[in-house]
Amino acid sequence: MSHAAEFDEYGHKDHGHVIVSVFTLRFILIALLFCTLLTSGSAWAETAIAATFHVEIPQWINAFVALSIAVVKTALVVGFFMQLKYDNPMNTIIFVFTLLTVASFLGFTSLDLGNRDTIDRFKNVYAYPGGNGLDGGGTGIVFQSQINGVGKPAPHGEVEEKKVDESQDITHMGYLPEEPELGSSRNRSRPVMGITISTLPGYRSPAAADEGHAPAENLAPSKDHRPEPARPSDDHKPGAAETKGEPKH
Amino acid sequence: MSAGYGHHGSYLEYKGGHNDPFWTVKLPRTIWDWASTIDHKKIGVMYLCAILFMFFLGGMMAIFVRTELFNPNTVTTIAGKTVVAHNWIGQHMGVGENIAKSNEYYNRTMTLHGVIMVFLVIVPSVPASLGNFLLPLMIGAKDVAFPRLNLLSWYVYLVGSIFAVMSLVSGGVDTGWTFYTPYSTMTDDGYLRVVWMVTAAFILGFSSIFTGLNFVVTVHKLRAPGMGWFDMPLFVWGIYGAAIIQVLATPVIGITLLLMIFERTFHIGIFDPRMGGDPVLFQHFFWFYSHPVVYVMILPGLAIMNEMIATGARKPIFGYRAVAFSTLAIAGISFIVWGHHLFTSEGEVAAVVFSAITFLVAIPSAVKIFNWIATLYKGSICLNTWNLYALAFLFLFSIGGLTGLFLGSLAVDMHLHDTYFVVAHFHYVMMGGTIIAFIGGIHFWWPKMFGKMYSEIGGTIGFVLVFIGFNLTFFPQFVMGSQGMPRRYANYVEEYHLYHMLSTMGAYTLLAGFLTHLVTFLHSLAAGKKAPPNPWGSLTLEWTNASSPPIEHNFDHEPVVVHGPYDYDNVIPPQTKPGEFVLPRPAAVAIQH
Amino acid sequence: MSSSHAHSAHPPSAVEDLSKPLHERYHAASHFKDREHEFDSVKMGVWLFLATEILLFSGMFCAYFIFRLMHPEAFIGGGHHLEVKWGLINTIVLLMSSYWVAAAVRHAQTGNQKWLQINIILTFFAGAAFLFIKFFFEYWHKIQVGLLPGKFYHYTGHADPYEPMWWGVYWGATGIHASHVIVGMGLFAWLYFRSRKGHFGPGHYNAVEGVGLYWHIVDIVWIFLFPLLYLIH
Repeated sequence: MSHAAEFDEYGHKDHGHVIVSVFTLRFILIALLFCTLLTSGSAWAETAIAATFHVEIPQWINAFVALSIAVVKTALVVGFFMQLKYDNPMNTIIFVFTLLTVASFLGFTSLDLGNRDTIDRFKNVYAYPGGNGLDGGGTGIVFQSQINGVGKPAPHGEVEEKKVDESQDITHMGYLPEEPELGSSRNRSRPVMGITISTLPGYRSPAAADEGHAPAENLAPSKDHRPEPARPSDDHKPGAAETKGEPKH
Repeated sequence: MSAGYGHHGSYLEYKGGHNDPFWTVKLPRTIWDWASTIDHKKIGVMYLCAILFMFFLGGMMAIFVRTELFNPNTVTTIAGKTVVAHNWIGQHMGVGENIAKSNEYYNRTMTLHGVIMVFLVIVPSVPASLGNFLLPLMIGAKDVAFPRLNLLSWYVYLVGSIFAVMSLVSGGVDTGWTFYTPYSTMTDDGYLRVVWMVTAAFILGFSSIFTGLNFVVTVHKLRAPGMGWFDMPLFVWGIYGAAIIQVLATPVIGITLLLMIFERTFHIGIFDPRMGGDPVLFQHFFWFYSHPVVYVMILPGLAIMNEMIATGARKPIFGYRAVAFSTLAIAGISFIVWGHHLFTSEGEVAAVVFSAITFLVAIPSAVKIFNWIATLYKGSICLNTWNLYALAFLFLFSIGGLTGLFLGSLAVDMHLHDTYFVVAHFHYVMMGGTIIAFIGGIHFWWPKMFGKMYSEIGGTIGFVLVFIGFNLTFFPQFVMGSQGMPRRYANYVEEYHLYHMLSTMGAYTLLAGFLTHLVTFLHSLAAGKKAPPNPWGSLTLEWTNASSPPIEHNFDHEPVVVHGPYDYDNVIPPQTKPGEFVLPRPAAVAIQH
Repeated sequence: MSSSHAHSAHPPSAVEDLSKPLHERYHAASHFKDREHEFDSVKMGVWLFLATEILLFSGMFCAYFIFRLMHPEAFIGGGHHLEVKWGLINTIVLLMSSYWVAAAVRHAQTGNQKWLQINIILTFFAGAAFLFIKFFFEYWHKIQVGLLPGKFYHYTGHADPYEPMWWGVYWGATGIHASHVIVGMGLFAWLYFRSRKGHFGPGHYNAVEGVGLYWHIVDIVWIFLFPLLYLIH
């Protein structure tokens, strides 16, 4: 407990009052403008190269280049215009912790959204009677399903009867456009192709637009939020079946 | 010494002339004095009153919910007519036997209980009231870093409460306090109610941010000479940890609720699977705020505990640094565990990862509990009301924390998700933790805040009622939850009747306990004994340097810290009568220093 | 914080030199040791506020990120409706304004009142130009052809079924950003009137520094929005 601890972040009197030179400010400005032109130019160049030489440039290159340049620009603004380079280190710590928080937010959210159903498809192959997955010759669920092949008939007769219909297999559900059936969505909320915007009242399909139909009058969202099976977009009834305040449990 | 010290007179004192007529000058001037004050103590007291009022409101909602659940609804036919018996809320809301309507009212009551208790009571409870009052006093500052921002935060809180009450008056919302989509975007044809309520939560977020920002800067910049980071009372550490979370997590609820309002009014579709959106994304967004904010709720409660335990046992806190760092550890980990609220709705990979990280939280929490128990060991424990609350906290929070481990393990949670087990768990943590510590803290600092002693007898009776009532209310909920009683239902099957009955009776006992406290406090304000400056013989700055109640600028002169906050071994508490508080370990230890 | 303070405990000094400019007569609020101490605290407070701003926008970025992964076609298709040139011009406008703000802080530090005011005005008008381009050349066109968020979407051309989602993200992100620009312009107007009264100088320029930092963050958000919305295809 000493007096040296007094205002420990505040001891550095030289921090926080650095007068950045005009040269530095102008140099940074020019660098920023250059980066801006670079990022637009590279986006343009990629399109041009792809069109001229008929090569497929992967999408991530474009995104990577654009975002890297944005990060560089941000570093310049934060470091020099916002004077973090010369400032009290505490402010840098605040900034870094903020970025870490953002990273955990984006990272863990996309960890979930990117990994829905990666285990589910092994779990859901067979409904073993009272099973723990070990009755198939002592093999676990995952291995057993790999041995059998996902969605293939099981070797055991009595198990085969319990197997779900192949068209209902979880690997097909909701991912392939030709499989519109929703099934039970017990563990995912991934949007299901087939139940699309085209089922919303007021939506005009491109085909309808080409035929020159008048736009549908009812643009209000449907009150009916029960999952509906997909149907061809031309025979839907806008605003059908208004349910008010559906009681929930 | 910089200027500004030397103003005398309690901060509560009327500053005008002695002969001012009451109604014409004195009352308006006093009101204006309080409404325009930038003194952290007055703002803290105003927050305390508002929060206790809201606590009463939310508590009444809970009583309504429990009353409805006292008996299961029974549908019988009498003389060819269908009659719903025991439908308490329905009958008192004037919808009689319309069971669907009455269920809706139940949903609204339960939602209002949740919203009021979370956003208006527990989140601001300790930081905004006791924290505001004590933080500058404890670190020897004259005020928080930005006093006007502090007052603004109070008014923002007021505006947010008005929005919430507007929603309540116009019929209430029935989405649950979590505002999950699609409930919040689809139900309730009364369009504006949900928007009002969500706007209220959005506005209250700003209040929370302002308070947190203020506290972080205050702790960093305004500590008194001689007070290093590890000379701060642990209360300050706890408030500091909570303030960091408030600053970093609250903006995310801002954007979430904003997006939800967009979704509801413009139907932009990002939470609507029909338009390619994802309702679970809302849960991620929501819990990215709301899980850290659980620690905004509990860290200040833990912070109060440090002061009460150390003073109550007359011993230094065992492992000061471990407790301090465990605060920061909890704050850090709180940002990466939110997925455990989504075990049944998110993908398995994420669920496994979140489950694993969730168990990490147990470590710093256990560090705190063990250190307090070690502090109590061989201490001379007093049994004042506030210390009874501290001891109850150890018991209740341990139950709450350990049942959290059940819920954190993936497989068990699949069974227990959305049952009364969860309800009991978070009430044991939020109420058995934060509110119990808060009530204890109010008793502890009551003499300092208002300059009056409270009646120990009244306090003790209140404590006993609260303790029994609390356990009676929530322990049966563990049992029925593990047997499968789902939460948020207005009705249930006959098998759960006994547990619900016990639980409701417990709720009434709890109410009686809180009313006893209210009476004790009012009695103390009206006829309490004058408080000495340091009635408990504590060693933190607010007791040893400031009078009771503190003067307008806190200290007569700039305080200089000469002993640690918990040096009970070798420092006789200043401002106490000679011989009143003896050194627990006298002479030898003191000489060695 | 501002120059008058209710707790200001500084006794009215017997001789206060009224010929000195206001910024030299400024006293820190009484709970700070001196102006230096107050400046440091205010700056830390502003940085914490900026942390909240960054996290606020991170929600929009998260929504963008997730839905881009889910519906890449809709996002590519939607992005093609935006004209890169307006995004580019607006980026340049905001970068220039950021430079002017940094210069304004510098002029406050060196006590150059004239150029301090000029730089504040320039920044204000840069914000106005940004909004003008945004509203007049971009938003207005999109409103006319029906490229609107959610239920207001009534674009009649060929589009991916999930494109309304992209427009929700686009309008949400740029709308929240534009509202920050509007707030920033208000702050610069306030700074201008204060700077005319001579509130800012080498010893006291807390407000210029704080508003400047805020404006840079608004700029940085746009630095990310520009490639994400206009360039990635």
